[in-house]
Amino acid sequence: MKGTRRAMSATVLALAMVGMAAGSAAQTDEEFEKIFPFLGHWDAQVSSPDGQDRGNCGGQPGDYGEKLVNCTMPVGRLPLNSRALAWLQYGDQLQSPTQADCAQIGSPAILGDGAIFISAYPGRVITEHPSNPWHVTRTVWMKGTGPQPLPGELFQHGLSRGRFDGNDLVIETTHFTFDPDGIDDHLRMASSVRKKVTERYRLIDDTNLRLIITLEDPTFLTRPFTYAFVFTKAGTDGPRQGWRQCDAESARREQEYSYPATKYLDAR
Amino acid sequence: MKLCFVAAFAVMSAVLAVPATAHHSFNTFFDMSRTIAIEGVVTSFRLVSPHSEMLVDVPDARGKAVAWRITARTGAVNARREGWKPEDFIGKKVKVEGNPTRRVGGTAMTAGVVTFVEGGRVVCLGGCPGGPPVE
Repeated sequence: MKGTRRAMSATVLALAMVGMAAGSAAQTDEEFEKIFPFLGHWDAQVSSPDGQDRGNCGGQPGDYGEKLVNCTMPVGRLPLNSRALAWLQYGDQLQSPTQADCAQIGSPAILGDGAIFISAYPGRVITEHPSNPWHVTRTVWMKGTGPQPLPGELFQHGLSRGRFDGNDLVIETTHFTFDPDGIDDHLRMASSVRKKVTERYRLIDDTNLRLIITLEDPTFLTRPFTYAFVFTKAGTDGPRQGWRQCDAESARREQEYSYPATKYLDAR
Repeated sequence: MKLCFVAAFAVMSAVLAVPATAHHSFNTFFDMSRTIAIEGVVTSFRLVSPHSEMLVDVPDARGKAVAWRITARTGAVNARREGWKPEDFIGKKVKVEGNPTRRVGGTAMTAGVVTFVEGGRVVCLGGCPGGPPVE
């Protein structure tokens, strides 16, 4: 009997601790009302009919004059500084972490790569970005919750914090690692640890969403760059976690066999 | 009961068949405006992402086998849904039609249609009618 009472007390204490921990992140009815219209599966209207000729990288040719495609932003209007232009001269496809070595693409490229699935929990919003060959999942910390990074602590997808500005869901992401493909992987334009991505999700109506993206990176851009995508609510209940085990050996071989040429002959 | 099962399966298939968006770019690597054909023996077929790949030994003018790399226009998930099995391909003589690499003198292409020389079975590796979604 005494043991049972002790076990019950422990259970109550544990529940109380969980409740206290969750207290600061509890979702009020008002917050739920605000996030609810954003929940679900949104398809980006950024693909051409065959799904391949998206973007054309603003007309920017590759190292051999080839037509680069699948850029996920209007890179032709990027305010690149002279350091960035020098980077473009230096880079090649075989040093691209995403194209040659299966690394996930980062923000903001991932935001225009097809679809976004948004779900929410008290204190956090989850955004999923299904693509081939990745399925990127991000946690957006709301109301000041989430980790407090140490000075100099950086993350591949950054640290995302969200809030509501009126009815807009605004997500600000900082604390990125240096990323050789961090502005756009098909353009092969890098981003620095000073990168900041601001996403503003604004509902046009019940089934259409405008995502306004502002990219800042003083290391490579002369000024902040803003562009937007329109998403439509998809008729499914969301993307399935597919088998997304990217094969780096095969991805690299695709570059070596099929890219027009090799830029650095002594470094494969 | 059987009808219900078929209907449920159809709905499930429609949901599961929502294609992932293509990310790696075919146009950058392959000349999609040209079609070529090769004939040889399959030595390897791997169901991987971003794109499944097949190696085919093609005899050159002197009869020496040259390895051609065939890039399917879809990844591992769709390849498995299509029921592709490496053992059904490896060792078989095939004709492959597709778009050639942009690398001058390169021995690669993206397929396209694969026709088994013996038996005439035809398999679409993506980008042709009846094939899996391009990704």
